[in-house]
Amino acid sequence: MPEEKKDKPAPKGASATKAPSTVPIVEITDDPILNKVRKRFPDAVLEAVEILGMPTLTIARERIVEVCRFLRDDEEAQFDFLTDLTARHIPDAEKPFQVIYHLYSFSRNVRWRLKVNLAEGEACPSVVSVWSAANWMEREAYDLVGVRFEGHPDLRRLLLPEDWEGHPLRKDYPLEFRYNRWCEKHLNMVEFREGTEYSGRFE
Amino acid sequence: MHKPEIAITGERVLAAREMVLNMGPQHPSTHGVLRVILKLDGETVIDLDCDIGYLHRGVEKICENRTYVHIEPYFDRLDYVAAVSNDLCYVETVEKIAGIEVPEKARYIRVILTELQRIASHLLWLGTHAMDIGAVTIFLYAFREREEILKIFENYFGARLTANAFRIGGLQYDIYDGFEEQVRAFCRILPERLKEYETILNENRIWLQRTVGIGILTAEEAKDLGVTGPVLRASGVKWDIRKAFPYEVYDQVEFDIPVGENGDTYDRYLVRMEEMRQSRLIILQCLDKLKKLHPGPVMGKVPKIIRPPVGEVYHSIESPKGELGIYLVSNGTSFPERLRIRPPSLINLQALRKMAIGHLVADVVALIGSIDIVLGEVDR
Repeated sequence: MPEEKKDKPAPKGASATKAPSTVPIVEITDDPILNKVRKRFPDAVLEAVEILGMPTLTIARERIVEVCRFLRDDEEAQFDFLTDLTARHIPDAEKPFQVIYHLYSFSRNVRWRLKVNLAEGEACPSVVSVWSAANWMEREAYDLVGVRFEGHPDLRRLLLPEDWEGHPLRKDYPLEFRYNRWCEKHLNMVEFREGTEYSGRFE
Repeated sequence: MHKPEIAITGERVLAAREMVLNMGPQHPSTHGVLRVILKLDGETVIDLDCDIGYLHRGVEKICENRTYVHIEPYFDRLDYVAAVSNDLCYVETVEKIAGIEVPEKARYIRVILTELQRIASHLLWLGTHAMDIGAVTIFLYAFREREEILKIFENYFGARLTANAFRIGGLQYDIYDGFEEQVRAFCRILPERLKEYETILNENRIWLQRTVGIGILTAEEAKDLGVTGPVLRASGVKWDIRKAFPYEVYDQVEFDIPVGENGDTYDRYLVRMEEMRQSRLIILQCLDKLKKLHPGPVMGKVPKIIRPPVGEVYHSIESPKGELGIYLVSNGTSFPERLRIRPPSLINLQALRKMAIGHLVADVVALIGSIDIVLGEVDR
């Protein structure tokens, strides 16, 4: 962006060369509910850390529905509310897709974050059977990031048209189009010129 | 939750008496461009499916390609009748992950403006919701009071609708001369005006027939469907993020959380009316405290280029519609890696199907109004 370039000479590269710092990440060692989950599902929890005060658990893909149901029904955990469900594309990672769940417990006033890492082409088990709220959130994640949800009752695109090509929140999806096939077909307004397809990334 | 029988692209198997009715996207009672496909038996709704996305602008994708400072104006355009609340959520999220301190005075001004915005948003909701049901007078009255708030916004922000003066680390402007008197004058007239509306509506036979017992959502159903905000509170769940996870200065002011009993359209109306009164109390308390802090700085120490540390954060505020949350992943540069907006309207709209089945077509209009959706936020 042009403004950033303008600002750069002022600190003489002092802050630019410094490696970016990281938010405090603490390993969770002793948490009664986490211990219960680990005891019940020995192979489910791959990582348990606290990021900026929020407990974050990485769960094995096959176990996510069972773990969610356990966290919802357990008398101590009582995570009866799914605040948010979203997905992320991390192109360089070994498993390039990540589904992120934010759980909340009304009675304990606690938030937890769960994560599931997915390899290319792998589907994530759907948690609609645990919380109905996941229905549209999973549809949105499928629409924008392209993560498939196994066992979802009605996996259609939520925001974009059914016949749209690609998933916009993937990192390799361009920000701008010079030409878009869908627009040409349905709106009949974009003139196609040879060699200009998908060249419109913002610079 | 099972698959709707009348999915837009799916098969449509109809019995002899059944019919499919398309409502919207250009329908005045859908408050924007919402398309609802209804399956009817006579005039009773058997099933419905929402088609959204007409206003999808890809804000999350745009945010990944803008610096932290440039992103903020996009938030005004999400929930365009509550721009101030959206901005507050965004700047707080960045402040949380970057560890930026905000001066106390700025915090009080932010709360005053956000609560004014809540009243303005609820007034707009009241006017349009009542007009959907047929009470046109209320619309004119509610807009009269909303105009007073917009005048304050115009003086402070320089804009009436897309008000944008919240900055990462504080505020762009200090309060103008006469701000306090203007806000106090508005707070003086509000209670009697609210009484006026209630005189028209509370015991109005048509209003009661159209709202009492319509679209009942029990507390269990509401929690299961992820509903937040006034819709959840009307179902009897006493939960407000301002109390559960206090942000800004909400832990230093006293206010109540109004709750309903039955979770029907009428209770949602009562909850929002009471919320306006509570917002007024918060504003008055903040004005008293602001007096002691004036004059003082309104902008904290902020680096020239904002580069939050690598990590992730989830922050949410109680917007007029419900829980507005932002999940931000930072990669240490001045561009966010991923910015997810949890829009309250979208997730509350999901409950429409549950509420509407078994009611009449005319009640669907009342229900869409009672959820209080803004399509700019639903579609993003």
